[in-house]
Amino acid sequence: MIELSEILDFFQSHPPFDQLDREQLKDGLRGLQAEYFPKGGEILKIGQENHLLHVVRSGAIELHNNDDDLVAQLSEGECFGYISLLSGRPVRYRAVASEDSLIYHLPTESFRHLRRTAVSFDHYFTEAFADRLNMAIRDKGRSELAATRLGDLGGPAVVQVESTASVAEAAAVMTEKSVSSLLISHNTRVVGILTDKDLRRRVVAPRLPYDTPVTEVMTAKPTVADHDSNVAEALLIMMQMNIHHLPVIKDNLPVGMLTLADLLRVEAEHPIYMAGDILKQADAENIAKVSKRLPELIQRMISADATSDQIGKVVTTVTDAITRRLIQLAIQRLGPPPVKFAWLALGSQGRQEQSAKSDQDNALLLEDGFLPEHDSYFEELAKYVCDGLDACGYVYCPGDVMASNTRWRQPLKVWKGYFGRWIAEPEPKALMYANIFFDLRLVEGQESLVNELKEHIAKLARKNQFFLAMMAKNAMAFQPPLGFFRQFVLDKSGAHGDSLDMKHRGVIPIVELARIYSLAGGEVRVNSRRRLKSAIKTGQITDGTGRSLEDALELIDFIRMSHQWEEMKNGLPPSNYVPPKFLSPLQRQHLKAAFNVVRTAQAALLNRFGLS
Amino acid sequence: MFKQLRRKWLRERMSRQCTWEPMRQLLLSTPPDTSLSWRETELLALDLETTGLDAKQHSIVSMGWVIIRDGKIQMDQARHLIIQSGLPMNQSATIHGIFDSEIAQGIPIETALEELLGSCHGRALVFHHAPLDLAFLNEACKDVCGQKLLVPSIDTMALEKARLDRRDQPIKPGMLRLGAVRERYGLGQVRAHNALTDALATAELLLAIIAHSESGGTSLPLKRVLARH
Repeated sequence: MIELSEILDFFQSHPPFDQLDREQLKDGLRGLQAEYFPKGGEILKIGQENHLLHVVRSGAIELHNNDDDLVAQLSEGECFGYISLLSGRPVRYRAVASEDSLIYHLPTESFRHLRRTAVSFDHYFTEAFADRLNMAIRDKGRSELAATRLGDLGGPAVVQVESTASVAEAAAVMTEKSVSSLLISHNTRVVGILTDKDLRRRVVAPRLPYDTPVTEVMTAKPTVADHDSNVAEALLIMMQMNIHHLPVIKDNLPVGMLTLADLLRVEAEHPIYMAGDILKQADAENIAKVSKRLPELIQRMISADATSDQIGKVVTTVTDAITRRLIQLAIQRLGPPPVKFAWLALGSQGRQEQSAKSDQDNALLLEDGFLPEHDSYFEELAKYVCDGLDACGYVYCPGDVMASNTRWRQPLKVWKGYFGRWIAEPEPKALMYANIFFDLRLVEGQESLVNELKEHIAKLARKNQFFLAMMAKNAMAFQPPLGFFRQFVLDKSGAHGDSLDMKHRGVIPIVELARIYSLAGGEVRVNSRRRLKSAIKTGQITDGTGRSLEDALELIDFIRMSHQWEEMKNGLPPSNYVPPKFLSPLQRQHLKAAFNVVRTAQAALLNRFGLS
Repeated sequence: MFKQLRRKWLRERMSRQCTWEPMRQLLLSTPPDTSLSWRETELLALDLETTGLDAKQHSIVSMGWVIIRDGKIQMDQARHLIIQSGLPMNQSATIHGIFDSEIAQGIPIETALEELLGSCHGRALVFHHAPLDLAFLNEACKDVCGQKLLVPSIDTMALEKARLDRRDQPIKPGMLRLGAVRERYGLGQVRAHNALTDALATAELLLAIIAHSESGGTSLPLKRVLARH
């Protein structure tokens, strides 16, 4: 039995031991030992037998593989040695103290006992990395209604009267506060509810005197909902009970009144309506005004536990609506276009993966009947749209990849030439453009133009192995870190950097992998998740790899977006830099697993093109 | 060799004079072989809480200890005993929250010593500032059976002082306190101070001190770390 509070406290504050309650820990940590290792001291040798789970109590431990590469650096509360414990095979990583360290050892029997005690403890060790990731995000992404908790809805303060009130007093309060229902309480506890309908049917129609006690006409012991339950559940209760008012309760006290009208309001603020509002605006200025609601929308989705996939799509839907409305307004001013055109969204808008911080990347694809004298029309159109987007917060592309640039406002045959050259001569600049322009999507205009260009690209890219190999090599420019060490980002060269660029070292590596798989499979899809799904179908990657990458993308991007929201809340501009201290121990573990998935896929891709 | 025989003979003679069984058993038990590596010896790191600093006047409030075997602290053999008579009411608050299961009622000093002596067979004791704790233990043993406690002991404070002296480092006030020494060895702070957490802290410190004085796979013999009284 372990009775020392200090030791129990230590274990209870570190995953996966936090999955166990105090009694389980006391009983389960049988045979726990502590050993001290000075800096440089070796705890595990490669190839040795291991019968202990090791937990860092203080100090720091480095794990090295057979080639003596640094694989991980562990700090207080992290475990090692469990792979050999679970497999019964010899140790694979050398464990060395990189600082003076105190290490706890737990005998294998106790480890086994704890794993039997709590499934969640067991899962932490036994689930494959990919599965662990999957678990972390499995619960997300339900419908927005189901994901919004009643407590988060806000709304006006609850209106109530004492149980001693008369019907007339109750009606006066309702009129004063302009509510259609109120709660009747006795010693702060809710004892009943009175609605407009009750007044009509139970008081006025039977001609009761107005000094009738409210308790005689109220609905006693009304159905209530806990503030922790979600909107979908509340809606279900209201439909089943055929009621329009539902008191919301927290710790037995009323905290709000949910009405059917509130639920309709939740629906009305859905992004679909925001896009609709944008299309109603008569000028760029008013569009910019509506677009200011975007951060709030993102926040709502983040707190509603929407997936980053859903958030990306919704944000892009809004951007698309803004772009479309600006084009319509430009055409109203300039008259009908001289030839057919297609407005292309590129980059993250093209992939439908936008977040709070997005530049604009766009281009104009024109019909081949285009003549030089037509260009002044499209130049003005492009300028109007790009300026409008900038005013809405989508700042000008720093690389000038915008339709306002003559180079990116060209007829189909010129575009085919561009892509042909990039694919035939994949020098660095060409690869950079390829990465932006392969993610193209029609926002407004002639769909057939886009389809023809896409087919052309798909045919060229698929045939050209050298181009794909160069893309693969180029994709290695951005690599995820090994993980985290205390408040630092851990790389092969050691721990440094007090923040992590989640876009370039997290999201982009997966986006690039997905793009290459998709091109290699002769496909021209643009959304990364769809690219991964179709890459599984076309046999570019295994089912397992595809799913793991999708999960990794979801996890990394969601953490990036949550952090951006955190920054906005604190009045800072949203960035892609996440400091490790922002992450919970569990998020760190999951991120580490996600990075591992990406690194493995990157290595496999290099191998495939013989580049490793 | 002769020294050891003489000690053994002395202990046997004392055991014949002693009527208190726990002390008699301890005197008859084989003490640790000091020529062996410290790793091959079992150690008992001990800390006492007392009502004051004078062993003649003040008494023991609680004792806590952990066992070190194979150079590792055995966490599940930790003991923490609260002494009944030595506990003034105004200090009872400090006892609470030590353990998850509250055992603050306390036991007689004789019962506590019996358990401690039973745990000392074949082991060396570890203290931080041994003279003070030993003085209290000796007084308590003498009260019970008229016999001092004769167990080899290690003093982490003395070891650290010797290290600093060897480096000719001036010793400033407070430098040898448990927390300060631990800090020099990269060991964390102890949050709640009581006899057991301090015994554990002392055990950890001993491991750290020894690890830093051993070089390249050597293992110190026990006699090199024992305190001389």
